[in-house]
Amino acid sequence: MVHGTASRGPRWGLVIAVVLLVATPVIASARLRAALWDTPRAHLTSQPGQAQREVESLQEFLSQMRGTNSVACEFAMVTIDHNNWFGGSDGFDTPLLDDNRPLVPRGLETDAVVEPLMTALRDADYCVRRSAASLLGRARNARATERLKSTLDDAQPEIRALAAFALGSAQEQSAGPKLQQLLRDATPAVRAAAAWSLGELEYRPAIGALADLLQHDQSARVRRAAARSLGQIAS
Amino acid sequence: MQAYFAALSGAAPIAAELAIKGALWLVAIFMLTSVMRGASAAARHLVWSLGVLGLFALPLLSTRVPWRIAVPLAVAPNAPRAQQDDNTSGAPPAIKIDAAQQAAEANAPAHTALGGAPSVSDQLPSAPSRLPTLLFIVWSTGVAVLLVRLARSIVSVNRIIAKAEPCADESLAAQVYTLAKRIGLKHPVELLEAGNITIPFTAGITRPVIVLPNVIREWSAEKQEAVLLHELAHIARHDLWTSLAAHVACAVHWFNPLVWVAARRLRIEGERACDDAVLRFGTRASDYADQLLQVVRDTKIKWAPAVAVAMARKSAFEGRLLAILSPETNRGRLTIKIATPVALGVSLIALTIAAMRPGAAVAQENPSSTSAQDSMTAQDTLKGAATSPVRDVQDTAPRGAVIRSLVSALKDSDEGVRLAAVEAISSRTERSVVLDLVAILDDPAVPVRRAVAQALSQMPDPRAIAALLQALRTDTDAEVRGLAAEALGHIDDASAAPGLMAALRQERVAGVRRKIVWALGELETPTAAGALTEALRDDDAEVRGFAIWGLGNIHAKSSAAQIIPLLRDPNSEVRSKAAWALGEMKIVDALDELMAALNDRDADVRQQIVNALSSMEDQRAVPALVRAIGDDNIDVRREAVNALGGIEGLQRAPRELVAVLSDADAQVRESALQALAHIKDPSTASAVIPLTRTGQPLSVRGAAIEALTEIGGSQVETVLLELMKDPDPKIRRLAAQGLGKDG
Repeated sequence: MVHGTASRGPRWGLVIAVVLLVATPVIASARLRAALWDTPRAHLTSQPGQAQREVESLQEFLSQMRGTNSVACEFAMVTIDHNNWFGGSDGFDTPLLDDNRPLVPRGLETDAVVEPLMTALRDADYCVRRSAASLLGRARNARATERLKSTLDDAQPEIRALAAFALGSAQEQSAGPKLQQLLRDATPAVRAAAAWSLGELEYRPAIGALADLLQHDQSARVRRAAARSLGQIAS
Repeated sequence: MQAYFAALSGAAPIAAELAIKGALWLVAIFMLTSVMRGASAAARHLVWSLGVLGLFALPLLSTRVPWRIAVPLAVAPNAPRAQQDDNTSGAPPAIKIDAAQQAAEANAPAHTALGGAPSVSDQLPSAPSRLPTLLFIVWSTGVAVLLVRLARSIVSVNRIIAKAEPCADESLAAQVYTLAKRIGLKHPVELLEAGNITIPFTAGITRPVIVLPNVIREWSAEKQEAVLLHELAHIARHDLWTSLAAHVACAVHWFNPLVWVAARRLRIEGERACDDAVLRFGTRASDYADQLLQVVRDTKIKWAPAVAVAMARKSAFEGRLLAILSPETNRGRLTIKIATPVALGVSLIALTIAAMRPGAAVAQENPSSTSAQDSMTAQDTLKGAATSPVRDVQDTAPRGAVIRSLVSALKDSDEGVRLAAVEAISSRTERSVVLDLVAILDDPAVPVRRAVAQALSQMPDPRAIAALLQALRTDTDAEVRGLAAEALGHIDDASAAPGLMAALRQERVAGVRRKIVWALGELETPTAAGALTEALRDDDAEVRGFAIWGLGNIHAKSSAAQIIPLLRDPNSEVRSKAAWALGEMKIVDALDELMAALNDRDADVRQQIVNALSSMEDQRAVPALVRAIGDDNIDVRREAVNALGGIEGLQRAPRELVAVLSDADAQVRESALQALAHIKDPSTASAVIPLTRTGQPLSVRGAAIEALTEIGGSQVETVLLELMKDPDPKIRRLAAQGLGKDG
């Protein structure tokens, strides 16, 4: 009166074994998707924007981002643009994201938020730095642009890279020559960020330098960014 | 794979959350079963089964449940909590980590897939923690070991079954047959005999089998009956399914001791429920207990694979005997009255647990994370979509140098660079380098091959045909094959047809077959008719749909006989396409079938049929079209009215068409007027006249005036003269035109 799990027929056992082995990564990836689905939302559901003043709203937003791990942070960055892979633009509704409510702090165009954002750019928390760079990129604010351009000379490589990234996101044309210089930076991450941003700017004078990087740079990441940007700067 | 590990850092908190939810869930199930002491074993077994299945459903539910219950103390993505978990759960680890950096160092291709983003991590001093990756490896090793063990035991059971012979004892077979009927089994049970086992067992997920030891013939009839009833009860209760699910759950959640206990309880309750079934059929409890004891005593269990045995455990066996002998035991079978509240309760627990989310406040910890990041990819993708205006700035490099560097990057050692180069070339539509792209259609990296196939779709070039066909035949990645087929469709060169047809015959993946059939239709070559006709019988509805579309495109009238039956296809899209194709090819022979299919339950299909009937331009279709005027769906009505107007040589307007003049929908009325204008039946004039008057929308009045002019008759002039006094200048103009034509 024992019962075993098996089925009739030749080698069915092997077939089931193979199916089970294949199913494991599928189950694991379902968990992964669950993770990516959840995390950014978890951080963005309590809406910023209740605060009366721009700076408060900004701080509230940044404090929500604090502590978010790197991957989730990236997805959160997409979520705030209403353009992630499960929400908004690709036809699915995200129940918790309401298009009428601002997910990003208000008043990014005002000068008051520039200094707090520049401070946040040097925060100890990665996601805060990352969000600050994104928000500075969105701000498209003359004062922010000036501050970022002078930050391109910063002693810390990460800050240079974040500033380059922010200027690229803002598609700030005047940063072109400076970014082109950064293509010769000693740090690969800075070169990659500069190459990426030059693509965003569609900065034609840098084409030759980018082609050169693509062929000769030691870092694969720099070469990737160069290839991508060359595709963006349509001939 | 690196991308997988990179994403692990994002998955970690949720993996831990799911592990904890799984534990919570099982605790809830434990509590539920403990309050069900008085219930039957079958009812408790149901709860345990749902408990095991719930472990699989929870991750899905957690993402779908639209509401949330914030649990401030629950999982948050930070280190201290995760370290506690490590003792209890070996789940995909839950520590804030720097896997992203590891992945970056290993040049994770996925990041380029998102756009080749810059990273700021290269120079950061923080040492990457390998712990999460390690934990993940430990977890997946555990899963693999357990699954292999499960597979091995399945194989060993199969081996016994393969060696076993059909039971020769006819009286035994007859007994099984009657017992199976009594217990309510609908499907036959195969009876086998094996010499190398000492206890009977049941096996077979798809086809149930009972394997009996040879010695069973020496047993008494009562003992035989009890044993057989017990095994049949297993089959009737689908215990093999739940037991398999339990084994898989144990393998996946092996780090959770509760799962093992749950699986054991599930097994025990399953055995008890079967015992209850035996006793319900009238075996005396003391006799049955005695027989059970004998079986155990006689049996030195030599063979005990992982997938078997509840009775080998002494403690469980004692409990089982007590349950059999106790007169107070509830031996009820599982009825809807019991199952419904149980299922509802369990679902409620599942939803509650699924809705639990870590509270937002918890994420505030971990202020000094120096985790390195690959990144900005997300932002990057977005910006990729929004291109800024092209400016007129002097190039510093000749176009040729750029292309040369991109082409040489196609041979880069880093797959991310190759991928970015392919994408760059394709976004610049550099047709001069198509052959360089074709050359890496056999790149070792799947993302690169996909990008190349996609690029070749965007830059269709006949020189790529041979390589694409090769990829379609031999690539291991289904998406690459699908994209290759798509590219061949875009290249649209009939010389690819034979290769596509050969690939269609051997293709196993429905998604790829769809693309192949679509491409064949796109080629619009008569040579494809045979293969497309064959594809009409494909299992996949979309493949059938594309095949019909392709046949309609090439006007393959010879395939009409195969298309007509598809008017009854289970898939409405297929039915609708079949109607379209028959109309497109003007298959007049299909008239009867089309009219018969007009009772389709799908309005789109009916509309398409009316359309097809109308393109036949055959008077025999009139009765069916007239019937369609009364359709519930406004589009079908409108289409039918239009169709009637399009049929040549109709002398008298059908009464139903005239009746449509009072339809609530103005557009339908307008269509009807246009149809009547076409038919020119003088008897309809009196019905048309009221529609020229004020009160009708302007478009309807205009159509009515035009129809009246076409129909003619004695009253027309009077009506038109009257309308010349209308306040609306447009009406006056139409009336004047009508009078002019009349005169």
